[in-house]
Amino acid sequence: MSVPICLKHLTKIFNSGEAAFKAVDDVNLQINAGELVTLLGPSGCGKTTILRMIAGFETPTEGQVFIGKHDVTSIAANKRNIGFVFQNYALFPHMTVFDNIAYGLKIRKLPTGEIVRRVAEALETVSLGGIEDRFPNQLSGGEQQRVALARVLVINPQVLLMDEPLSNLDAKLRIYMRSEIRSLQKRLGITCVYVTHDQKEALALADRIAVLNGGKVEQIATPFELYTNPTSLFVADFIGQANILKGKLTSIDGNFAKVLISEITVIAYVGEKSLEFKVGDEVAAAIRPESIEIVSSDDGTLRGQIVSSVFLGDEIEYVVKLASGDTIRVVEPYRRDGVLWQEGQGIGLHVDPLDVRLLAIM
Amino acid sequence: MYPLARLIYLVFFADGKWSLAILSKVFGSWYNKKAFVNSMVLASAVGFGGTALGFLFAFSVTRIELPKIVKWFLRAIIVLPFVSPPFTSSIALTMVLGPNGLLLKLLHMPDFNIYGFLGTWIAETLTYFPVAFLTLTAVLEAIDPNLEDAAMSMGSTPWQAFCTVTLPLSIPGLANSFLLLFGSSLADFATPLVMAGHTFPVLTTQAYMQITGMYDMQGGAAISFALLVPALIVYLLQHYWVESRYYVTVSGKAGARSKPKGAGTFAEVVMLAVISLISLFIIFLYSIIFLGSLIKVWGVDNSLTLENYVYVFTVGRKAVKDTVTIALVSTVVGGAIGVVIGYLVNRHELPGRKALEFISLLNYVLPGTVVGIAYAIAFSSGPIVLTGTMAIIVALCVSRYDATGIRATTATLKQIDTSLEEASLNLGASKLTTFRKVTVPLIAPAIITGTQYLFVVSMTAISATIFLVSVRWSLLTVRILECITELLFAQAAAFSVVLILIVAMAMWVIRLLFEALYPNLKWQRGI
Repeated sequence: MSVPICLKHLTKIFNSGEAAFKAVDDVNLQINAGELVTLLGPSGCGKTTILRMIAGFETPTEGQVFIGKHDVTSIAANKRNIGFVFQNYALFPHMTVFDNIAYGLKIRKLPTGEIVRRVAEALETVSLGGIEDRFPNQLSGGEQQRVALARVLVINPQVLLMDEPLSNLDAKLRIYMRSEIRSLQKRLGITCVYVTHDQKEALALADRIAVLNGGKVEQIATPFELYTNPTSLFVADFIGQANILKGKLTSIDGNFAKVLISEITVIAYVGEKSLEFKVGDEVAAAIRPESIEIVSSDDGTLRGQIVSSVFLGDEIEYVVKLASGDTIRVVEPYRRDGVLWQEGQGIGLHVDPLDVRLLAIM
Repeated sequence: MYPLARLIYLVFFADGKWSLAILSKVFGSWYNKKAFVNSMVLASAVGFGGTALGFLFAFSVTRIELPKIVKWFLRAIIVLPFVSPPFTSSIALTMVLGPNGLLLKLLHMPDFNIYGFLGTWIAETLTYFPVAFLTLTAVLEAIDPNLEDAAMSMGSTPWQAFCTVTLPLSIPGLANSFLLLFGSSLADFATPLVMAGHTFPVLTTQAYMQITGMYDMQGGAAISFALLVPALIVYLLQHYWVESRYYVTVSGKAGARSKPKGAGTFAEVVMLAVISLISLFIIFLYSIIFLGSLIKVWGVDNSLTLENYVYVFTVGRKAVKDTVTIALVSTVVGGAIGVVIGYLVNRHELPGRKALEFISLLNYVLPGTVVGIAYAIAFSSGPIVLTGTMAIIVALCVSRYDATGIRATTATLKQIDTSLEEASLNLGASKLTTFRKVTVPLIAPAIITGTQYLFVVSMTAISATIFLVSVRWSLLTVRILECITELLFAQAAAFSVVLILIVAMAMWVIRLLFEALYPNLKWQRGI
């Protein structure tokens, strides 16, 4: 029985001495019941502050938080029945695993028998068992993470909030735990907001990703949509890698537009957004490194010269200097029978206009 | 704050008018001028001597490879002066080097006079060098031995590395320790009272004489005001000058720490020799106290007896009972207040937060004599009259010594991430439940430290409380003083031994109590 979360005009201003800092700026978000939404953005973008306002640890300067049908903006954190998993897990170091998980149940004054039963259930849910009597500092990072999860799941929270829960784990465990969290969330059908600065994590986990920048939501979309169709320069640059070429819009023809970048012209896909642009605008063309193909110098739509090549095992990363003077990055998968381009070599580039996004410069 | 205002009023206002007459009258007397100079000279000497001694001990414990048992032993010796009543070293010194002293008889030097500067200096240095030891141990432990490795890899000998790296890096610590000891000596009352004699007056004793001997409250207040000024200067120096000069020696991630290097064989042998001598001397003094308490009349009739202890528990019974009561009440009240203030200061935006911190610190840095006189003035007349009650002594102990507990609580709370408390709120606990079930157990070690300290100082305090005792409430320390003035050294020694035992026992009981309350405290010590 999961519920939606709705944020209306949420704003948070921190006053530290003289300077006021707007951490969250008029954020409106609708998170559907049973959905997992990640808040993604660089540090200081306000993502954790939003999460803490949903949990009730911070009071919004303006705006409201709805959980289900209820406005919880003025309800204290301990009355909201929300699960919050902290970046550092925040396990009580002076309590055993059992006491940690039972904490919320004891507060709710449940009978001992039921507490024992539900703690055991919760531990089973996160695939842990037989560690009830240990203290947090005797557990590995992954185990602490699971205990932290069990501790919030045991109280049957309406929604689950997670603040960079995997950032303290090593790379392999992180990948494993994120699929665990994903399948657990789907199995329980619980509405979940997940804060991270790791885009791979966001792409792997989320139903939808909200990209935040400077306290505002830049774009909220499914991972696929976000990667293939970023609507702003910031999103294009932040999600994956993108070559950004700045120039002037010279013509618009149906779904495609021509951009003049110094002496070279690049054709970009505009799609239904053609009305947002007009000829003569300063614009940017965004191209993913992996959607560019290097061909021999007498082929392709653009000319360039290899500046450097780095062999990374599964792929080769080239830096190419264009005739316009811009340098771009090109990534090609490594194949035994493929061509290895040499530094200093003149080459041609093939780019499908469908892979070039036209974006406004802010 | 209120008592201090009353003190300043009394000093500067004669007949309701602003005037410097009292101050100039008091310091017109050559004897009082001399007391001022003496206080300064003595404080400097104790500062130097204590810091040097503290550095030797600290260096040996942190930097020289010694068997564990020896290090433990050194630390134990250093703790002794902390839990002893302030007269201990004075009594012992008198018994050894005073008239009829043991060593004087052995060495056939009947004319030697321990009273005056020399005796006061030795006794105060022995009493206060543990403070220097603690400060300097922390400083030396923070200096990365890799720096010494670096010096030695560039060709310096261990002794050169010590002189060019370790010593310069500890200079801010040394300065800090000097100032601490300077302040302690300046404020010390008990030692000069016993050891200084009439030829070497100091400010604290002069203020006391003025009030109890001549019933001149104004004069006493004026003298204590003269104490206040240098004490504040020392505090400000320490706070703003020394603290800004600490070198950051922990740079980046601490790699594997190499073994401490010491200071070269010759220097180490010299240091260890000095330390052994001093340690032996301290042990000797304490055994003298113990022995002295079992002997009829020191130096005259050396037969063993338990009479002195009988005296303690018959004549001195009330003092023992009163002192323990006061210490217990102060500990409980102060402990609770300390935790609450520490918590509020840390976890809540309080409007008067800075002021609160300042006031509690002010009580702490002011010499006890000043605070004692201020309390005596403030609560003998006016809106609140507490003279002669237990409340006034408790109020003084709590407001004066709670700063340590507050600081310990604050320091521990700073290390505890707020997410732990938020997690508890998130799981449905109210703020009060969170405080009780999460915060308090986590800061329990700090509470233990704070309450233990409170109990110790409430038991051993004299410089401030001597102005507040009455017929109804007498204190052990004051009884010891009375015994000394009546030359009942054996009884004084017996009182001291009893006091040390009570303090040691109380520290142990407080520890046990907390361990019973919070059985999971063990996580602190890393299972």
